[in-house]
Amino acid sequence: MSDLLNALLLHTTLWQQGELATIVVPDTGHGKPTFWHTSDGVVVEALCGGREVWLTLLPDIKVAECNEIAARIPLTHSLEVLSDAQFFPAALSYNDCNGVLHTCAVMVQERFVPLDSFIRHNISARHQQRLRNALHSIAINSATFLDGTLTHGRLARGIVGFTPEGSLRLADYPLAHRATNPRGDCCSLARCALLIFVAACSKRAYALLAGGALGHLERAKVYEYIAAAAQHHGADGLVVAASVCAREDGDVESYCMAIAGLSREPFRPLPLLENLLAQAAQLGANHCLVPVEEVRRLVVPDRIDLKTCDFVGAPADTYIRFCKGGLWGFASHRGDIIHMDRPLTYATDFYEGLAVVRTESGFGVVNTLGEWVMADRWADIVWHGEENVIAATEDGTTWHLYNRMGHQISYYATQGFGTPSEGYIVAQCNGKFGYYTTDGVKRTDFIYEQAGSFHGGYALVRYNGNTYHIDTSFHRITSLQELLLAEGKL
Amino acid sequence: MYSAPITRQSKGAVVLLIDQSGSMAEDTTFNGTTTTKAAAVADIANSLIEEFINRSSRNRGVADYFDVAVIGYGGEQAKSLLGNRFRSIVEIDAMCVPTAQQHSYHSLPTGEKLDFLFHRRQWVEPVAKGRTPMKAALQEAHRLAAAWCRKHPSSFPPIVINITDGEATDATAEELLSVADRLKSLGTDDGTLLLFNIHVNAKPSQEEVVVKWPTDATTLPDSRNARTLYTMASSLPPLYNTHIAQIKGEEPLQVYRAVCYNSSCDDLVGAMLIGSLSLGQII
Repeated sequence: MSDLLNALLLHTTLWQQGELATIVVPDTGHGKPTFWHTSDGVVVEALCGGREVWLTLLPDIKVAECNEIAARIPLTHSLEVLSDAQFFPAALSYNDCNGVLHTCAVMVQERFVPLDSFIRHNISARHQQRLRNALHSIAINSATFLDGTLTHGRLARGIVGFTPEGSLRLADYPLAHRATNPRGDCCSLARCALLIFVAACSKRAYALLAGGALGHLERAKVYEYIAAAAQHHGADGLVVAASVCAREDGDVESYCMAIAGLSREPFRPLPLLENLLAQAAQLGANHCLVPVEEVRRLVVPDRIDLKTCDFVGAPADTYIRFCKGGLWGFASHRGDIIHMDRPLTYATDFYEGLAVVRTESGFGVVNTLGEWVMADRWADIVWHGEENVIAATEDGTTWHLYNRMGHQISYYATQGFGTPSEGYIVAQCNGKFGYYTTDGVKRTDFIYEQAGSFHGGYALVRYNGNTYHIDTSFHRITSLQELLLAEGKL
Repeated sequence: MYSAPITRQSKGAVVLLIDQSGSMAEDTTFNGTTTTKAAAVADIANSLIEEFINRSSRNRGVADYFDVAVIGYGGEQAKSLLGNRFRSIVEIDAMCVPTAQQHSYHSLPTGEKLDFLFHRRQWVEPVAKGRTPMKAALQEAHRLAAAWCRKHPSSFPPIVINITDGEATDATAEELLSVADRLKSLGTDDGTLLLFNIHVNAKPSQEEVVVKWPTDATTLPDSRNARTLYTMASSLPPLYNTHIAQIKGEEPLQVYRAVCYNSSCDDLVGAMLIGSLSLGQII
């Protein structure tokens, strides 16, 4: 082989269809070019007509095979996906160390970025658009397999590459055709497309899939987990693609449709897929994850047909309150239910992101993610959304005020609160009334026999049998009517 | 297009739409301290107004380079917070407004921590109450901007920056898009109005996608609100490309959308500076 490589260090010219192409093989400074071995021969990095190419030297290809391959030349160059590969039978002559003359077939093809390098580079540079371009390119070119224009026969992950902008390239076409296998080719393309999609969505999931950490799992099982997680995330294109890729015996149309679906599917975070694959990698070959059916049951978000409910409320904060079979819940306009970790026996409408609900344990406050802002242990809770304050009692008799984060803001307990208004809320203690601010600050003692909410800056109270209005400084107004007249409000 | 310099004859205009709904009372982290979203956003809005005053300051005082309007929306209505019209930057500087003492924390190269106390004028007070009438705010912005554009036909078109933490409660997505389209159709001879949507998240979790100045909708999280804010926002002219590309670490060859989603309050500062970029070309 070293004789062959030495021969390449000379400038070499190749004749193809009347055109001369000058091949230049730069050496690395150590007297040899950059090269590596493959199952077919040796691949050398070179320049052809100023373009970066790979020369594949094929000393083991027999003459008959050379002629068969050459008979298929010239290639249809309109198919740019074939990386502009050209085959030259018996093109390179060289003398071995004993002085014996040999000839060797050479294949020249455009250099491209292998699939995994392309993915890794564009994940790190956050060039999601290039990954999207790659999916589109696979989708467009998969059609050539569908109509039989192109058959490769030995398409695999190592054969697939891309230009820096994301145009698909397939290597080794002249060496293909040993067995026509459009189904296998399309299956490989679909799996490559799925890998690109997952990489665009989740660097971590791609690392687990591509890094060999899941080698102990059956391939079909891995795809089943991808499909289950994708269903949870609502990525329909990924669900279809994973289901199709799990099978080796799918038809060409289904692979091509799966690829097309992936090219249209928006990228999105896939945290459940990351967790599933990470768990699978940690457990190793001796343990089993939960069966896929169990995963579906646990994580697939319930969707509800609101038409089947006993009660459906009006949209509030874009969420719809419903009751079915005595149990309550919230759903989006699409019917996706907000997941709650325990059944609700009652629910009120959302207001600015919070809603009071009741379980068998008591009342609580939840947010739109289904998280408990105030746990369900209260005898009663009132969420005054317009004034951003919560009034709650644990034992049914002593009440406090809480902010929207569920933190207590009132120091003195009361026996009840009224409806807040204009920043103030009436509170009751020992049969008398006073005022708090909605920040939880006590503004008056409990001195009033009756007290009303503030409106327009004034509230009606009764003190020592006298009924009169007070202002927000809690000063008595002699005549509210005269005051309003003076202010021009009447 | 989008090349008119800011001069005293052709002023710049900016409208801040500030969500003052009840959910803005949630705690968040800003400048290393815990505060409410409402307080953080008010602080950022006040510092942006100070920035405009500084940009307009000359030897003889503040020159009339900008018109500013601030609209707060919470409860049932949207309300202009600086009076029912645009205010010139000279008027704003002359306003008697309360000041608030604020801390600014810095780490020195020696490792020493510095707590710098300063006073900031409070044109915008933190308010968090009621629902989210975003449609009303956009309609109010339309009213103000339409009149301004008629008076300043050769100026750089107005910039509208909408800061919100949730979804509108006074309109469907379709109604919001319609109002936003009407707003974006306003403009001057130098171009159409630019609408920025900046969504703040009190504590974005690891699972939540933070999107800044996307080039297409495929990078958005799967959220109707994200898609609505994206579609409402303007496509940015090349003026902004270099700065945004620098932030994102990419080549400035794309067309960016004027939207950020799931931003923290610390990110909001940078977003506001990008939004007011065009108003730095003062002659």
